[in-house]
Amino acid sequence: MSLQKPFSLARVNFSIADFLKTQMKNKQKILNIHLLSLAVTAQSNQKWFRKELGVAQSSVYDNGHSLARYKGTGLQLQLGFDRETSKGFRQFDNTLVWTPLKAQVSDNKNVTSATQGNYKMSYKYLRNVTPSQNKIKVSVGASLFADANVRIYNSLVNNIFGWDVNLGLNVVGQATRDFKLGKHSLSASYQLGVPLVVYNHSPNYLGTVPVGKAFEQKNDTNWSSLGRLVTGLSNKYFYLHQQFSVEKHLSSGDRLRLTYSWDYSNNGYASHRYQNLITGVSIGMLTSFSKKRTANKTSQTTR
Amino acid sequence: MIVSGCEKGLVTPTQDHTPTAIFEQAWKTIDQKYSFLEYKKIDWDSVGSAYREQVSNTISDDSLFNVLGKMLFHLKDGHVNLRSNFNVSRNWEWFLGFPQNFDLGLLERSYLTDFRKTGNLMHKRIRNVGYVYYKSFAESVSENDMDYILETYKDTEGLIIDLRNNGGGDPNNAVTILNRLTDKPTLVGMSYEKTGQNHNAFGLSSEIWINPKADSKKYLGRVILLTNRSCYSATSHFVAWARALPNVTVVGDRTGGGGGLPASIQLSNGWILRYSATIGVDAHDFNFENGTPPDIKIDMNKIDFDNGVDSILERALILF
Repeated sequence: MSLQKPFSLARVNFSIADFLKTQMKNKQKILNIHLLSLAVTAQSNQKWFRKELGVAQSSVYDNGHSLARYKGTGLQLQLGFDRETSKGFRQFDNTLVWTPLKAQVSDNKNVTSATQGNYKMSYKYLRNVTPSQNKIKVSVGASLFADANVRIYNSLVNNIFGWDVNLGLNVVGQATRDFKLGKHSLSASYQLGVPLVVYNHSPNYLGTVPVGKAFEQKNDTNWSSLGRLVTGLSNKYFYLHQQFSVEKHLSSGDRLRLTYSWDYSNNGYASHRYQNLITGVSIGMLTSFSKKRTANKTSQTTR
Repeated sequence: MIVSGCEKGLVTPTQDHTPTAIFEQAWKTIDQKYSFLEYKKIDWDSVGSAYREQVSNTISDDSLFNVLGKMLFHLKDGHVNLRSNFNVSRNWEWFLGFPQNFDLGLLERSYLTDFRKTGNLMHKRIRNVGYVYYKSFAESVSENDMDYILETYKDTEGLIIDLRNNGGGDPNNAVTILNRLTDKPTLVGMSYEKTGQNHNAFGLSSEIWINPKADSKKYLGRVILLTNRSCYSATSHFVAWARALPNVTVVGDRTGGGGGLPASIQLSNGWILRYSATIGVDAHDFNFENGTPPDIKIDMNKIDFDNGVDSILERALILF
């Protein structure tokens, strides 16, 4: 027993020291886990203000105005808010594209010009559908969108304006992958959107002469336009949105972004058909505005 | 990337620029969009068949243009033109086949010495009648112009608005003037827009009203409009609408017409085809595509002309 006492004391002493050490380690672990979870929360609950500027190429066919295709290169401006959480993404987007166009005709002497303005607004909500440890994160959701196009054909008489307005609900899918390139943290994503249902307002068969406005008449209900509700992917209305982007993650939480976007619409009523393909490349910055809150939370926990 | 870059497959205009394809584009545009085929009783299928035979894919642009020009001539419409970089097709029979009934030089020498010019309106008091010459509806008339002219001639026995040789322009100028010739809201005409491919497919009528402002200067005395066959398009609209006002009389020759508003389409080779896209009628449902007849028909007399007398203006002056 006596032999055992010191041993036992020693064991007790050892045990207490070991216990305290273990406790310290556990505390450290808990703190580390807590800090890590905060960091993860901070990383996956980010908010950004996004601004991008780039060039866009538009290719247009509107047989109410011209049986020739018009094409041109112009400017594209995008402003929006992005939010990323552990559950998915939310994105509010405004895109303005202005493009001077030239008729694509065989004889250069008959080339005429036009201008197209395009404005798109959308709000996307996407939920992650793959486990967070997956290399490629897939998310699906929907977007509400409004899309307006105005085309001005300078060489025509009276019917110089072509236009269409679309309000709809898109199904959207996105695949994102984070990766390293040397020391740089990057992420690449591909987004695809197709409409479920759309309210389309565009000129009717003739679709040209604004009689009501020209004559100051009382009754202008016969103004040449037509509103209709159509399901997506039909012959009367087809719209496809694609976007590929690469983001470089900066230490400040901001991100540099390069985007390639591709929007195609094909809109037809009776013999009047309008097709528009806009492709754009833009570069921009996502400025994080959730940094301060993350820093405060961390310091409170440390205390 | 799915279907990226397939621009030519997705934006698909008529790729065929051959003469036969261009001919069919022009023929079909008129067949589906021209507003007066039914009214003018034109058998467009027969016209197409007659000219289609003259087109092959080996003919030159110039020859194709001539064939299309001849085909479009059948529409007898000054609003129908084919425009290329080397020519503009037209049918001007609506005034070339009739007496001109106007000479600006004669007017300037015999009547308008020391005239006033307010905006784009030339005017002068002639034998206690206000005379206003409006050269083109393409030249704007402002509310200030109308204020000045109506103030200047408020105490006259009447007002003459000379529209001869006015080939048209912006119909809004017609509304600006007509708003000053009445004090009551008046339905002056209607317009029908083509809404489908059938020759008689039109939408509901769009009413055209004159709505004078209560506080604006007005001329409610007798107003005489002088017209000839060169009054076309917006001028014909003005005359047709003015006939709804009880104080307006039209003197001279029938107007040239042009009752449809023109619209245009570009063919796939770049040529631009203009056509009438609506039908215009006056307040009594009279289609004035072929002109509005005057209340008092009178041509210029050669003996009068040689003596420096404008027969039409003189006939108007004795009505006061």
